[in-house]
Amino acid sequence: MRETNRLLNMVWAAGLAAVSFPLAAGVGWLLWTAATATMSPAAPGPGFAVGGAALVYATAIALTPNRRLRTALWLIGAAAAASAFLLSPHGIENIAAAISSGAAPAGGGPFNGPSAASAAATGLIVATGHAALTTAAATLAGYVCSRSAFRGQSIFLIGLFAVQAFPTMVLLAPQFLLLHQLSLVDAPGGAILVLSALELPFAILFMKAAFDRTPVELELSALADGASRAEAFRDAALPIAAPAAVAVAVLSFMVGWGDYVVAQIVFVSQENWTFSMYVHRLADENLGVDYGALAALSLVYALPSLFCLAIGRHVVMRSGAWTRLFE
Amino acid sequence: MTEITLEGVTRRWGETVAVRDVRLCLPSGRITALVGPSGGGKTTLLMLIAGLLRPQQGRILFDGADMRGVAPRMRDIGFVFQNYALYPHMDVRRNIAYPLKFLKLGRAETDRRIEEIAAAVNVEALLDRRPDALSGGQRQRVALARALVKRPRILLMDEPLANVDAPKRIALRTLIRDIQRHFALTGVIATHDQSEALALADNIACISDGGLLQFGPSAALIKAPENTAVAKFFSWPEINLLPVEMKNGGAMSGIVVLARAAIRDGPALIGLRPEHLRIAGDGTQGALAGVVTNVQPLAREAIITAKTDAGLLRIAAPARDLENWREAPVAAGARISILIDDALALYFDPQSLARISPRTTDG
Repeated sequence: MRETNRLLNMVWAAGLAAVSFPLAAGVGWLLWTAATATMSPAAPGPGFAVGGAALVYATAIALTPNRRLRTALWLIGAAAAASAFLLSPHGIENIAAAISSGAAPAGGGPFNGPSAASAAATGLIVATGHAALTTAAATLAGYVCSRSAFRGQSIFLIGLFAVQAFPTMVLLAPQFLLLHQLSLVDAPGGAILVLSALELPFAILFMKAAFDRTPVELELSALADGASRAEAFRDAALPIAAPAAVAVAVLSFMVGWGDYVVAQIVFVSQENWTFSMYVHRLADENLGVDYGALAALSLVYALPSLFCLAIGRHVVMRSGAWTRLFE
Repeated sequence: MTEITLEGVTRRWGETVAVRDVRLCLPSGRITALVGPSGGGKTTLLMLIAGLLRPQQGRILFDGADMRGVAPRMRDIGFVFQNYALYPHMDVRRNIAYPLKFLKLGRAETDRRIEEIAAAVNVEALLDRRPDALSGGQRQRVALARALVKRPRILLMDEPLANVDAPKRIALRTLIRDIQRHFALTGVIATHDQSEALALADNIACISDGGLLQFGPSAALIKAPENTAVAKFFSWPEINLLPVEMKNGGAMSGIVVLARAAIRDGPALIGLRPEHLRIAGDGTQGALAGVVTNVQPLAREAIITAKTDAGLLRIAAPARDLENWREAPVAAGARISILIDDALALYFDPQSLARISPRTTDG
């Protein structure tokens, strides 16, 4: 019986790995290009091979039953990849070029855009602000939608979906005009508001579902124990739905950090560019693309989202662990 | 010590009426059980008393004081929910401490109260555990401790023992009774289990379809049910209800006289509890003849179904009686006689289903 399970497990893992190959190949190519290439793109073969090898290694780790061994394998793999990158012919050079590219554009010509650090700072402000605003608003709205049947609720919920039917690009034009009225053009606040408006429908429905799974008896019990409505929400509903809120926050952060479309509309002046715009400029073919630097920059670009996912992981994975108490 | 009075309390959910014009006075310092089938409005009644719901009509009074507009936290109640509603993200100690948070007692007094109530319900060893690491009975005791730690005047419990393993129930019933007496609480327990109600409560309010069927001391509901619904609910196996024609003081089923009672002539329903019927040898004088169709032997009694001229009858015969049976063992197909005690028969009006005899409730 156990043997069958193990075999099934391996088939399952191999299938998942196979499906993941296109993604892994892309990441492998980025790594390989950042490590070896300068101006011209690297040949795809070795890069895809790197991605494939990493995928096989990661699958092997995932299937390792011993927890300690798993951690050790992760650390060894990460250390090997990092040192290989640092010792590679162009790795450090490409990172440096990527970070300083704002100051010295590859194709020459005038550029008064931000430094990499400044663009990263703007990007982080937008991403963090978007995550905070979306999570707070979605948590409160989701709670209200879950707990009380107010007049027009179903129309409101369907409306949330209906808005999504319009193309984002079209919605952005009137929103730009609105921001102009509010003097929020070229300000992180403007980008945060637009991003939140676009993301909230999904986030509200997600949080409503989370509160729907949170037993109302806990809040009633808190009320009977002496809590006010607000205290009951804080003590007996919010902690149970917290993993969902963290998931919304992580997702919003990644969307905010990765956004290019909204930022391009809101940030008119070059010096206010976000990191995603900075990356995009480097990929602008009119200036001649430095593929090595672009690949290196993409690796840097991925860091905040990966970091955010790493800290949110434990909380998100715990969601639902308590619900079995009430079944 | 608080007397709870319900004056014509009604609560609707849209079209459905969960609680219908309930008038009740729950005596101070006693346990009252709200008993009835599931979905009959018992939980809604508890929530109304707790202030977690508001009645649309009627008033709820605590010692004569109208509770309209009084928040649950101002009502001095402890509430134990059916699923216990323990806070899953807090350990047992913090669960029990939660109600004290709002009393601002200070560290020393808070700890003292927790230790005291944990000892009373015997959960001292569990204080550092999370609720998901507890058994049903342990959760129940923690929920009880949390409800009692602020020393309320009223304890409300919704199906308190429904999720507890059968062997632990007796001990927990004793615990609940002891604690209720010790703190002189007015207790209200909602349960669908008649034996639970009989074991725990001083008084029983039988509730069905949101309405109050009967309220009184536990013994009275068994001895003199107001109507057939109460009689059915407090009889296991279910009470035998047969249509009869009263003629000259006799309850006639066809030409058979089932029992004698001083009731005016006309149609009636006779109620015969299975445990009040006795079996005798075939052909016994003055007994009802029948053929056994089914026997369910249980630990202390056997449930016998017999076909008679008056209809199918359920009989609960003590196992002891069956062992001493002189003739052939009672099995399907056996011919028996059934003895009916005139004094123990109940009579109901066939239209209103209300009891017409015995007239007085002296239970």
